Amino acid sequence: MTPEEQHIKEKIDGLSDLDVFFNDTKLWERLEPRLAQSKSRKQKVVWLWAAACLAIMGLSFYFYLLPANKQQKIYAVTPTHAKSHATIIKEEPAPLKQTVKKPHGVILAKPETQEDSVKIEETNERLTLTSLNYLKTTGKLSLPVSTKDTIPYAITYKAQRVTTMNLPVIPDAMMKRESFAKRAFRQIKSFNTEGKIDWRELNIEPRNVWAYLGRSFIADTIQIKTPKHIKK
Amino acid sequence: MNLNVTIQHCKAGNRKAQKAIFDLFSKTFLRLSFRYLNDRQYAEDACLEAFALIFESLKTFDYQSDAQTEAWMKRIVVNQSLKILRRNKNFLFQSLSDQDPLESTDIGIEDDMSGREILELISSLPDGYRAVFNLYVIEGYSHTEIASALNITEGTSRSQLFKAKMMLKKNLEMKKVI
Repeated sequence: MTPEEQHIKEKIDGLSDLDVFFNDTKLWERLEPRLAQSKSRKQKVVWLWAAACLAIMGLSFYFYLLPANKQQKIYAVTPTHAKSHATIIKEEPAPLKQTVKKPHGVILAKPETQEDSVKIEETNERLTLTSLNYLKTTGKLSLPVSTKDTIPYAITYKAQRVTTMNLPVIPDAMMKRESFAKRAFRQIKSFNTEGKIDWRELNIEPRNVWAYLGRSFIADTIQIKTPKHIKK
Repeated sequence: MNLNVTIQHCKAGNRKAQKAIFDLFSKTFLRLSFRYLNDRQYAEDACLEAFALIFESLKTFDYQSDAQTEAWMKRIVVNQSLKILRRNKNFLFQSLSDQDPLESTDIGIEDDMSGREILELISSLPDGYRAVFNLYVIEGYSHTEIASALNITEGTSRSQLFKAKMMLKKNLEMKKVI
């Protein structure tokens, strides 16, 4: 920097209000609301960001949980006839042979009269989902679901013919339910082995036979697929 | 007034401390921005924006000394002034041709000239010349810094300074004749 430039700088720096006067009182009045505004604007921005984050989180949760909810609703089907049979079973825990014998004879034409300990009943394609027991569910349905939660919907798949067999609980006998069920199924199969029974005639032609063991339908159910020769 | 303490209060959002800082520097900063903008209204606008930015940036500012603080604030005011200058006026920077001399020239300012007279002389310069002259001679910026601040080349900065000095010399001579 030259001496002359230094001289100019000193002179300019030494300028006072007498040389150039600015009224800065109004300037503060203009500045003050701006400072407050910037503060509130900052708060607004923070709130906006918070709201946006919440919205994104909410939407992501919603979309994440939506399929699960739908599934839950479909599964929320009350097993209606499990209770009523349970009472019958408790009153008369008769051996399985009795029921097996009944369709064996002439009574084949009247399968609806069966009231024995082992109850065989039929569901067919005309049934709505509310009357169907939920068969393919997992442990989610272990708690009783109120009927209010039931959502009727149009069945898009072909309903299976299902026979539910309620097996009694006999605490004193300490019966192994699994072996009991297997024996029951063996006996059911034997109906068809020698042509003694026609499932179609009985109108109970089952594809799957499910056993209701104890109080829980889901946990203790064993799926036993009927052999191909019975399906015919 | 202890500037460090006042700045600490400003960081906490104390309005009185902000007012104290404003009162302390407002006139200096107004004069400073006026030198660049040559317009009172623009100078006030630049100061307003600069002060708003200063109070906002004080939250992250590390105080070292009064001089350092004032220099930092002045830099903000200068930047805001240049911003307004760029926004409102068109610079006409022209680089000198290679043949033009770039050696330092004396303007011919005499010792008895007052600051106000010098300021009037500088104010008569076109915007581009005035900005470079102010930045180089009064603020002490290097040509590299000026080039960066005004988004021009160093050569252009040098040529603008040379032309500004030539014009000041010419104006001063005319004034003497009158």
